[in-house]
Amino acid sequence: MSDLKVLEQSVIDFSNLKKEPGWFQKLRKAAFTKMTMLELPSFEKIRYQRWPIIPKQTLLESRKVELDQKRAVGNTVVQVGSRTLSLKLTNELKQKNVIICDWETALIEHSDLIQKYFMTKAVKWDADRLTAAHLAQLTSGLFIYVPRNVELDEPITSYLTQDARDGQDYVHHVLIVAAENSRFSYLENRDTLGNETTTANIIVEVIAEQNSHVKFAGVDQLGETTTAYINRRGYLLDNAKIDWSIGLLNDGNIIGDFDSDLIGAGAHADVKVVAISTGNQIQGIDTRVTNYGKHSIGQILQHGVILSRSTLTFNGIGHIIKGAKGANAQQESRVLMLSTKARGDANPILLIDENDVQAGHAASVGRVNQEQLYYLMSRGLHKEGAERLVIRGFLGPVLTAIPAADVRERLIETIEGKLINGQKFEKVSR
Amino acid sequence: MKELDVGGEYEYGFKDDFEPIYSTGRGLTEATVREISAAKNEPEWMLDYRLRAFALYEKMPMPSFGPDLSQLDLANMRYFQRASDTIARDWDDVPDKIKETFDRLGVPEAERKYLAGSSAQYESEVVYHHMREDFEKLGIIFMDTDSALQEYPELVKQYFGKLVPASNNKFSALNSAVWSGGTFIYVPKGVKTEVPIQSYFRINAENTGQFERTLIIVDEGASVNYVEGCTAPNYSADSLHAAVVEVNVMKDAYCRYTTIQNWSDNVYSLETKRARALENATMEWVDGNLGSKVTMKYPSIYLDGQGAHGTMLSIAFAGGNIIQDTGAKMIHNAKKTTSSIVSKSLCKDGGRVDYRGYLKFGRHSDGSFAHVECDTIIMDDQSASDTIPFNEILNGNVSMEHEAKVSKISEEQLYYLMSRGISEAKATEMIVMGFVEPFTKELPMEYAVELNRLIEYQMEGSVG
Repeated sequence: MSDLKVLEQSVIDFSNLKKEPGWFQKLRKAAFTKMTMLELPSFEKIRYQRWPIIPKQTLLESRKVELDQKRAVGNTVVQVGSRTLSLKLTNELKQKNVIICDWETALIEHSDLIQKYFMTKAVKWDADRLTAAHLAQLTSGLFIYVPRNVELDEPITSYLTQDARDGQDYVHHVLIVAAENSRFSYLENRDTLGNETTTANIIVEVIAEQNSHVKFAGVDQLGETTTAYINRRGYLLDNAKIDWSIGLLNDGNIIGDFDSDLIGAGAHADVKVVAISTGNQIQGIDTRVTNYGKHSIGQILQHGVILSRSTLTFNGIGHIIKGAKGANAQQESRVLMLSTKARGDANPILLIDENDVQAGHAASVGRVNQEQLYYLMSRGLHKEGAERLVIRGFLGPVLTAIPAADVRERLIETIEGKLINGQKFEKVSR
Repeated sequence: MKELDVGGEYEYGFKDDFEPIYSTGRGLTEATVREISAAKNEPEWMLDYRLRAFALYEKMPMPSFGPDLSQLDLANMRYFQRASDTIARDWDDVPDKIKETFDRLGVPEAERKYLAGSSAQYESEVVYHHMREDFEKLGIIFMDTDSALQEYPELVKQYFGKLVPASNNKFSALNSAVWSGGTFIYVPKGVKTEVPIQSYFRINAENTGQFERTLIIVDEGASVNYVEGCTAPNYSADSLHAAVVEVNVMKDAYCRYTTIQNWSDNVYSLETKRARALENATMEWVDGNLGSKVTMKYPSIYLDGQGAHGTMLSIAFAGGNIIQDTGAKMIHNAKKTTSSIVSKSLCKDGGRVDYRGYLKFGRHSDGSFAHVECDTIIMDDQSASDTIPFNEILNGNVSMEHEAKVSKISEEQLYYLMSRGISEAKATEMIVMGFVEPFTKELPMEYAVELNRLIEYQMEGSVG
């Protein structure tokens, strides 16, 4: 038997063991068949095709690990690898019939909802080799369903840790459904435990139904030895809104594919992405908003900082489909180059098939704002500190959108650490 | 609102029934390449160059991006047609029928008025060429590239194919295999000419391939202003214009290269234009694309010397079913180099106008700066536009600003003008004229007037 057949058989065994519903097993098999026939997705100016990007080893059960009690506060989910360590819902959520559960439970208890929304609207499972591989080997995940008219005051927080201790690959799915008129915030923290060389394939789908409003904050801090494909995609119906705030602070090689499909009239996606590339890593970020609906609005803001010998590519794509009259697509990509050995790409792309629209982009590349720097230095800050402070301001659009103060604090610490390392590199290499 | 007269046709769509005195017929084989070279009595190295390029051409794929070229009938094309066996230096010596054609295009008239030199290419070769004596005395060489190869073989050999290798793309390989005509200019050290030199390119027969090869060398401290215009008759069968242009701008030199491309809507215009600017040199492309069926053209400037400056100023206008796929490339390879790209695009009646750009700051481009501005107006809901700029940065000590906007005609501006009693059609035209003004104001007077007239004509019937 070929390796793939062996893998398929072990996934089927896993699926039987977990008593996955028939429709899901059938889809898995279809994905296995289709996987090898589909191409890898292509992103402008991001050449990742030779990376170890296809997961191969996903079934290892995670070893036991202690729950970090600090994380289990409020409405939280803590997952490490295939294990869900803690899942706490406040009374508010229970009373309002909000569903939050791990993937295994979701498939058994909410099979009909999953079947309706999973990889049929936002991300199509047969779109390319990575999405098919995702479905074929999906082993863990999270399902969130917020019913009609429900508004939540407290954010829902997840800590999703990739377990790289035993070299297993990671395929993780998050499906979020915001039913009509619902309104809530979600904060997703991703990191890595252990340092074996691994592949991660992560897909997050957000279905925002009519008039719903989702605030999505994501902080990605995957490890240096993890090669990851992270796809987050929104599907927005009439007058729905998603505010994306994504901080990419990974240490390994990353493909970030962030899309919003503005299907309904008046749908609105506001996408803010900040990224720091350090060391020798390569991060390729492809952020796309597609306006299908009339008077839909897409906004993209991308700010990136590039250090050491790293590479950061920002593609921003605003696509207005014919018929989307009155649509608006705006984007801004700004890159700070702090190293003479690094590489940065900012590719703002507009694809416009309709005339009654407004579309625009601005991109810039440069150094830290010298005026701001001198101002701070004149107040007694040393140069490196002043530089880091200016950069923190530059990353502000995402930092301020993080709904939890402690997460924000830790994020700032991580950023400080990365910048200090980058500054050391510059000193040595000059 | 009053119905506007849509009338009028492509003004340069007339044709004459002039028969070429020599032609390689339809289609292209290695024998055709040898035949062209033999007909021109070329040195051995050029034949070898052509044959190597032909082998490349046969192997290379069509471009992987941009407009669909599958309707381009390369097998039926006429690759070489000689119209005259001498190059006239006096307008009276040009064959009557060709003369009539160029007279209608206003070519000699323009020369009398304001040009330092002028040449006219008809099908594959230059039929007329003239240079004002006072400029000739300064040592400026201005002739067709075929003659230059005979008269200045060493100079041509030194620069030919050095900026645009045959292997650059399928159509540069094709040009390198079958090139004919085009302009050769050499401006000696320190010689400056303010008065423009002009070439006019005309395709007359249907299914014609025109492969001009232009080579310009502006030596240290010299300056030149070169203008080219292009037209062709309307046919149902398509023609192909695949030029290669190489411009070498030496230390402290200046070159402005202005193109007004107004091919008829059966011409594929697939161009490769590249310039290299050395220390403190300035290269400027001024590029107007108004006609053709499909245009693919992305002039580039390699800023290889410290302090070099490059400019691209362009407009593209895509009317009914025309595809203008144009743009610019700036490659900053040295310290303190600067560049600016300003692109204005308009499309209507199902036209498609795309901007494709590439901007690179190399490892050694410390202190460099680039500015890019792309504005597009989509005039109606049959038309579309993509803006696809790539910016690649390999140096931490540079700065780049890029802005782009796509919209319809501004309603605010329209209503303001109409509230002053101006008709919608006139107001629209005024807004468009204002939109392209940064371009027209850089053109020589005669061209600016002509361009404004062309745009007025293109705009007719756009409101109603």
